Amino acid sequence: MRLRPELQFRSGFPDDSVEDETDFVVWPGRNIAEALKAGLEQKGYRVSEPIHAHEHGWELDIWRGRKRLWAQVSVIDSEENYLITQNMTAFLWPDRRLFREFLLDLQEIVQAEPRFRDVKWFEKGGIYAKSPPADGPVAD
Amino acid sequence: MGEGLGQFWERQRREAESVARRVSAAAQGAQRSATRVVQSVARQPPEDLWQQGEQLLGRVQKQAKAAAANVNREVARQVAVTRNRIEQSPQLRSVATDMTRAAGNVAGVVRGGLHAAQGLADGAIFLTRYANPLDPYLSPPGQSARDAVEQAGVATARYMIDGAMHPQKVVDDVTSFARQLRADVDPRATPAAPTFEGELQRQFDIGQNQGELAFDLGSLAIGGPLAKMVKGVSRVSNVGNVERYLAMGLSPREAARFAEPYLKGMGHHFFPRKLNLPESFSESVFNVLKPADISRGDFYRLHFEVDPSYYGGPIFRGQKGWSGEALGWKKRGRLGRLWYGSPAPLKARVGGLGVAGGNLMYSPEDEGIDP
Repeated sequence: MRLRPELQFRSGFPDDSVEDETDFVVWPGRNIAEALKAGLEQKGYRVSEPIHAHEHGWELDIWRGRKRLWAQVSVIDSEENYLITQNMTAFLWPDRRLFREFLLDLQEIVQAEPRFRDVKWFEKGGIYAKSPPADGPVAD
Repeated sequence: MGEGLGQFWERQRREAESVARRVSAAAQGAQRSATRVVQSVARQPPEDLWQQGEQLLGRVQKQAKAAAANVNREVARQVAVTRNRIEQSPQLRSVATDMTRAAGNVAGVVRGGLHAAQGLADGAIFLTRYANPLDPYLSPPGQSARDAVEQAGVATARYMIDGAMHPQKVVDDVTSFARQLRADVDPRATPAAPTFEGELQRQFDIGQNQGELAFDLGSLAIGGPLAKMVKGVSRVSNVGNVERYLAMGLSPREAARFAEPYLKGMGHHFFPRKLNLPESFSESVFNVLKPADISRGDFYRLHFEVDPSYYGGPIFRGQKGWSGEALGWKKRGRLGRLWYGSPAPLKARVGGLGVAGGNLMYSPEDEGIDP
């Protein structure tokens, strides 16, 4: 079983960045992270407030019980956006079953939100992964 | 006691002078004949001239052939005599090969100087091109001086990475280089030629290689600081170098933004923030890569190359952003990320331990990324 923990999508979310005369003060993507947070909380996950990661975008720490997962939303423009997730459970013996369930839950959330468009799921390495993208996070 | 080396060479010189005198006499005779012909030409009608010309040509051809045959025979005789004398005397044979190799040394030093001069000329042209802001536009795509510097850096890095992952390859390369170097400069590393002339040629070639190597080593010692300066070329800051980013296909406004200094950004975290390490370390100079005097564009590229979870970003609010993939940039492999993605203080302070730690931290990220 191979998992695809990285998503590329077109976004219908408005640009929520804040820029002064020299640079971004708030980088875009908080609204996307908040939408994900809401969806995950409905499915029983405990989710941090969106964490400002500057150039990287916005991050979420996600817990199921004591086990932690992680997600990062990166907005390039409305046509190119990324959602990268990672299994942060025990380093040597990661809980793959939990991560698989999390990705399937994430798929439901993304499919239920029409502002996630043209979603492609990639294996680790994202667009540079060797295998082509797919419509879902789990491959046999 | 036999003939000494000095006497031998003196006799060779005298015999050569004798041959030269005979050739000179033949040439003077030919000149006198030609003078007579010219004088007679003025008095003869055209049809007689044709006839006389043909006869003269025939005679001259015969004489020339005979003279050439004589000279050839004489030279061959001298060579045979010399070779016999040398071959019969181990001492002279050894002296001859040594002298031949010494002559090769001199020729090799000259060859080394010529190559160095060619290299300097090429380098001067290259530096001129590098300094020319129009070079990226005047050069074919991917062949500008700046591209060449980057490609050389990439090639070196790739070799280092490949070598680190396949140490035997480096051992083989070094062994092969050493073997070739020895064959080039050590007369004992290759068998002697079957003939004396062949052996002299082999000794001369080896002498040339020795001479060029000596020149290269000498100039390397003298030119060390220059080499260091040239190495620094690839580290020149691109702050303000709008042309560089225009050449990447960005609009003038975007290129100007990329040419600004990278000041406010958070930098690249060698140990990712998602590990939730103590902030005292996570945000310290040992973990945050944020080179001084680097442009936004160069930092974005560096960050893109060494961070598996960074693909691009916005440039201005509400406008098209930049994507490393669209710009043709490539992700670095594991060792490239460890080397280029680690801050200098971490490299200096922790060295191999940091690399090993980073290796563990980064392993889950590596699937699917070509080195």
